[in-house]
Amino acid sequence: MTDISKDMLMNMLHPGIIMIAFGVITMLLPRPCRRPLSVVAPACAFWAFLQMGPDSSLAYALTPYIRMQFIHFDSIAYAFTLVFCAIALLNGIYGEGIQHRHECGMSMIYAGSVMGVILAGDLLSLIMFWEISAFASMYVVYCKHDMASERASFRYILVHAFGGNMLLVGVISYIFHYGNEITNIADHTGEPFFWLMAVGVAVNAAIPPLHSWLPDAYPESTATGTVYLSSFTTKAAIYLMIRMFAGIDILIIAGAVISVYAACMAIMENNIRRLLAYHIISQLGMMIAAIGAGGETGIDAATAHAFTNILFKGVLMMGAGAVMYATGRSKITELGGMAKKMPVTALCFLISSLAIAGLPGLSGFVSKALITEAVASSGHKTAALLITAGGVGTLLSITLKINWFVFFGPCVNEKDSQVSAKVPVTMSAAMILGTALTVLIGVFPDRFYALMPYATNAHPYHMEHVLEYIAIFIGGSVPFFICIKKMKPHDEITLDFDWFYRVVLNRLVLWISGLCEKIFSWCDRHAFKTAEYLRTHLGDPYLWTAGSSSVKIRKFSFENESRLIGDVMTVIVLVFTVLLALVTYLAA
Amino acid sequence: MITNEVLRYLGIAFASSVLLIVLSKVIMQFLFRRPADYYLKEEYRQEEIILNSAGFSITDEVETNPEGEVTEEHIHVQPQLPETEEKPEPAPAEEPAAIPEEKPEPEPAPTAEPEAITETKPEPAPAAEPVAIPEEKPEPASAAEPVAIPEEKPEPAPAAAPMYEIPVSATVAEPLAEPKPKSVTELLVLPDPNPAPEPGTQPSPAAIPEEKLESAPEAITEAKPEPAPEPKDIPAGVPLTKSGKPRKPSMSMKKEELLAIAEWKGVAVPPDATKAEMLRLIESAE
Repeated sequence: MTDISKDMLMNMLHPGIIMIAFGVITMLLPRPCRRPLSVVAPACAFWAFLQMGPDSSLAYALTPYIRMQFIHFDSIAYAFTLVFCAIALLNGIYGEGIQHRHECGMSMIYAGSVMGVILAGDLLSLIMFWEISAFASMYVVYCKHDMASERASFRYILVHAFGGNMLLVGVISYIFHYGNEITNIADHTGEPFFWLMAVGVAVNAAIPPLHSWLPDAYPESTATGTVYLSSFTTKAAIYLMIRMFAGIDILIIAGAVISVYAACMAIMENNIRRLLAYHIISQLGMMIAAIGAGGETGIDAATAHAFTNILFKGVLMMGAGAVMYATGRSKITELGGMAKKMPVTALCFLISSLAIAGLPGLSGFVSKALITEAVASSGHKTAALLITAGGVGTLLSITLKINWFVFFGPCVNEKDSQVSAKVPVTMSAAMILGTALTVLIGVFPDRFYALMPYATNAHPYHMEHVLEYIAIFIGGSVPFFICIKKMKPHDEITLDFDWFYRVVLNRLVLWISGLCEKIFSWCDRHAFKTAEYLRTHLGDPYLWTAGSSSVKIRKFSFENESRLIGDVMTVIVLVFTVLLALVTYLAA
Repeated sequence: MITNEVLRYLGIAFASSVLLIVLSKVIMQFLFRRPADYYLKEEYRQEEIILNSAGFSITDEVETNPEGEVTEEHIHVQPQLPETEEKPEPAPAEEPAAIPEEKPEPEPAPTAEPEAITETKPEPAPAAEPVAIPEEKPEPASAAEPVAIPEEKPEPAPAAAPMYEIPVSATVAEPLAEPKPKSVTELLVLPDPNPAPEPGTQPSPAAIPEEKLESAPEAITEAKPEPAPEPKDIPAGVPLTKSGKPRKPSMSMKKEELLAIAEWKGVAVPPDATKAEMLRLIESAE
């Protein structure tokens, strides 16, 4: 009996809810007690994940007819929960001791809610965790507490509230027609709920033109906050796309275009974290293309690239955060020669940047191989070419540009790039662990592929494929070094689609509010004038005739003015009586 | 080992790299690059619009040292008076203008009086100086008494003389508490620059304290400097406005009042005429 109860309890363990509970506790505890929790909480969540199996179930009957299923553990959820637990643990190590109370707690709630999205067995529990993650992530953006982060978090929550509401309306509409289960809706393109849900998911997946919240918000958070943000929201949206939109053909081209567009924007960027944020979008484009390709290979490719991307992008963000923590600067123009001052960070950043570019032997090569195969097998040669170009953009902007101008190139501004704070050991440890995982996945691709939903049996390490990727590296690098002066960043910003709501929409709102103010003040003024006119003219009825252009009317007079007032009052009373009678009659 | 496929990828990568560099560093840079403070300026601009509409203005205030170097630069927000608000204007010396709300001054001297003042004193008296006191007036007006212009004044008050009664507070009555003139020629005299305050009066006539101003009756602030007709021209019975002007004839007046106006204006009115006929006759005469 005891064993049965224990088994039941173990089956009900939910890593996301554990993280959320730890997050709430962390916000209540004093500093000495809460410091270890940033590592203990993800460790507990990881342990809970390891206890999960196909029998795991946690449900709650909202009404006799609506049942919320919080755990639905299948192969796709397995891969995503595994990587989310791993990155939560790495982030917990990275931020140990440097996060303040609310940031630490909210980061845990955010990570837990995204795990809740992954494990959700129905649409209602999905939307519940989705909204929790939106608000928790908003706080993670806000937690830097400066003007830029406050404004960015405000824009962030506006965009996500829009997306969340679209998804909510779509979900309600879908439940009304087809029930509460999460299924593929690719065949329902003609129905409104499809487009509502597509827009809601597209916002979180940062699909252009709904992507600009990402490079707007992520760079404004703290060093640790950005690492959390880069790992969860967009990948949860990719998970939902795999579940609901896999196999939609248009996504292949869209994803390929997105990867090139975001790479171009990244090449122009000067802020390291903003550049990396654009690269999240570029890599998401590749995942979306794989989702569009559909099938087992496509889903495995998208899952694999999301998995590896979470790890190496996490390390890249950690490296950028470490540089910012040590120097207080995040612009490339203000940095240089950091490899001598921060060798561990530089090495981890270099390996991860080579991984994101797809160097053989690292995790990026393994996952990109699947994406190339999935897109090529779908017959879209243009999309495959664009994805290759997107990969070259990644090589140019991260692997070459950041590594050269920030870490390994000459130090242009020695005064600015002084290291003022020592990077904590926990930060370095998290980066080393993340890099190690990236290398391990690259070295043992078969074991990695076995974790994927359909365990695709691919062999990326055949000579021709390796040479192709080396050729891409050489071919992409040569123009960079030829145009090295041109590639030097400038201390400027790049306009993106957020310009529409940061400038155009703002001006429009101001113009409309100004117009409304003018209309209201005009109405007020004339209402007062009318009231004053009536007051004076009712008090002195002869004023009615005074302003007349007709001599006859102007000279009109009454012998007995009190009689006139009486007449006017009688008329007014009569009119009111008639109106009252009319209203009473209509009401009856 | 190096197949055509590998060379193809080399070419694709090279071409892609060149294209991306041209696209991002030439075309998109030209289209989308802006100064680093672009959004910040835009936000300030929008905040300025909002603040201006709420009656505030933002000014960039730069502090410099004597050498002209900028020592501190900051944005200063100061309240802006709405345009509709009446600005107090100082009353001209010739006209006994209404005492403004913000900068009230003691009752100014009438137009005829400055001449006497200039005769007795080389420097022109400011508008705030006390007015002449009629010889007949034995005692200066107390703080509670209203100031009334006597009808039996030898030289009638100029057109600018106020016809309304001013309920004078102690401060307004202060100019009256001056030494009496010794002769008729010295009807208007300048007061002692530092007059000794009499018991029950305020010592300083030059400035009216704010607390007194606040307690001053509204009649002072609402007064309009309209030239009033001479009292002797207006016979008794003609209805007057608050400012002392004869009321405009209208049907709201009594028959007797219309009759008085007609008499005053020299209009012959039949005794059995109606009010309308009286009005018509008065208007035709005007």
